Amino acid sequence: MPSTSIDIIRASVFSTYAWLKNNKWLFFSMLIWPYLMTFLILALGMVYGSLETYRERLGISNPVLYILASSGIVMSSLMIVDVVATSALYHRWLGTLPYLLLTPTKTYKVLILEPVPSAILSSTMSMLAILPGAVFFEGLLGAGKLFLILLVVYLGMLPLIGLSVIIASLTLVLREETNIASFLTPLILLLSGVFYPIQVLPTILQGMSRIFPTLYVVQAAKLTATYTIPEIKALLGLISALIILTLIYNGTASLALGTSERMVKKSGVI
Amino acid sequence: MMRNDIRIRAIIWLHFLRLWRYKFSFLNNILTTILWLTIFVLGALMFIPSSKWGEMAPIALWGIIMWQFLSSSVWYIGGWTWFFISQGLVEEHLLTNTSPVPVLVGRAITGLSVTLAASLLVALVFTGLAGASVLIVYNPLIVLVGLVLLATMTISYALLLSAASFRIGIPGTILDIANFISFVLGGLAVPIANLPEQIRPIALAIPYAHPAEIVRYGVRGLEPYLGLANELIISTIFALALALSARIVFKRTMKYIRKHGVKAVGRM
Repeated sequence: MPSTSIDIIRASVFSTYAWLKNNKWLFFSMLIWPYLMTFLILALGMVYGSLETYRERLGISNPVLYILASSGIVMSSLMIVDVVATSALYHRWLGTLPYLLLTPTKTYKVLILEPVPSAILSSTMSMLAILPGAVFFEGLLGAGKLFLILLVVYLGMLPLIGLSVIIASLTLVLREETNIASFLTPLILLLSGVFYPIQVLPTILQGMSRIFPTLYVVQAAKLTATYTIPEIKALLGLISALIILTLIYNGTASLALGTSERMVKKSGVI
Repeated sequence: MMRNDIRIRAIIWLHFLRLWRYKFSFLNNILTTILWLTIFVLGALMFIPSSKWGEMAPIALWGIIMWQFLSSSVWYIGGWTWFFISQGLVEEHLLTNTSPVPVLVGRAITGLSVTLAASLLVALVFTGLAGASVLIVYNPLIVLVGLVLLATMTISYALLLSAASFRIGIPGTILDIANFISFVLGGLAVPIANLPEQIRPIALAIPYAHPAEIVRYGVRGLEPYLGLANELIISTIFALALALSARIVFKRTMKYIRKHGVKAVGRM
């Protein structure tokens, strides 16, 4: 009898829990990463120039909070894409992919649902990790802003999962050693203008950035770092864009994974 | 019994073959490196007034190239150990009386190829931002000496990490923490003299700071913090000490795993 979606998610929650329990360093590193990235950008920037120049160029009131929030977004996006896109590859490495293909449960269902708990956990952890920083700079308002960004990150996660599934399908079909599309994560982040205004990019890249969900998540973070109370109308605009992208990417992903499953079954998976 | 030279030739062949076999992964690695570096460079660029960019660009470019040496050694040797272990290749090599050490050292071929290609492309990005003068090198021989010393240190460090990961699970992000700290505090990003005074002793204690000073002297003629002759001596001592430590630690680790088996299985 095929496993239900709940069964797959429950098994994955347990696996993620066991994995983190046995690897406490990993758990710790998830918390420290956004601070590390903030430290790198701030230290590098301040050794080369000044924070005042950064504030003026980006037109934001709190550059440190903005860099911290952007680092959280970078980490959560990175983890979502990585976890989803490499789960199929990891099964192949371990030799469990043929077993997955042989079970009565549809493989694409397992590959889509299995990474979800881990993706939710890692993005929540990345954002919660910066909570002390947000409270330090802006008190309870900072925590409120962070909660708002977290909600947008969850929404941004939906199209990102779809995009990652498309990458996973490609990796399976091409039979490469690593996730050959891992360059897409930094490309998406580069085009989203995580630490700089996207206006510094060439016009063609600015146009391309509109098709990636992280642009809207970063813009939401910028809104919260620019104003004391972010504009609701502007936020709703960003949310609508994310909903449209979710429909497009996830629709394409379900077709891509089904096709790659058929191709892999035909040609073998090793 | 297989002769040593044949074994080494086989290992070199293996890594070149893997480069060819996984060409998409290789290209992907170059592209990924460039894109990540561009994100950070564009971020750091926002802190610099446009008038000072020409002056800071060569320092930033060579800082990034040197960081790439460290990062690629750590990931392509230290990080690849995960793959090597999870595929059961350690046991397979031991059974054929081949030490995994030269196999891992051979990964430097992949790491240096990615570093070279990525550095050329980053240099191209920088010429777009700050003009062709960013590529001018004052003394290429000194730059080469500095880079060889730096590569010896980073490869030895990566081997120490590999040895550690045979016995314990080191999450990849912890390696990145060490890389970032070395980049900023270890004098790779900027000359030691430009760091705040309180941080300079930390930078001097990090081995990579010394070949980095040599490289900057070769690139721009910037006088090394402790003088060129002293930096050459200190760098050589650090490089030899790290290489020797890597050899001793690996020897002990191999002895241990022959008795107890490889511990680190699974995701690290």
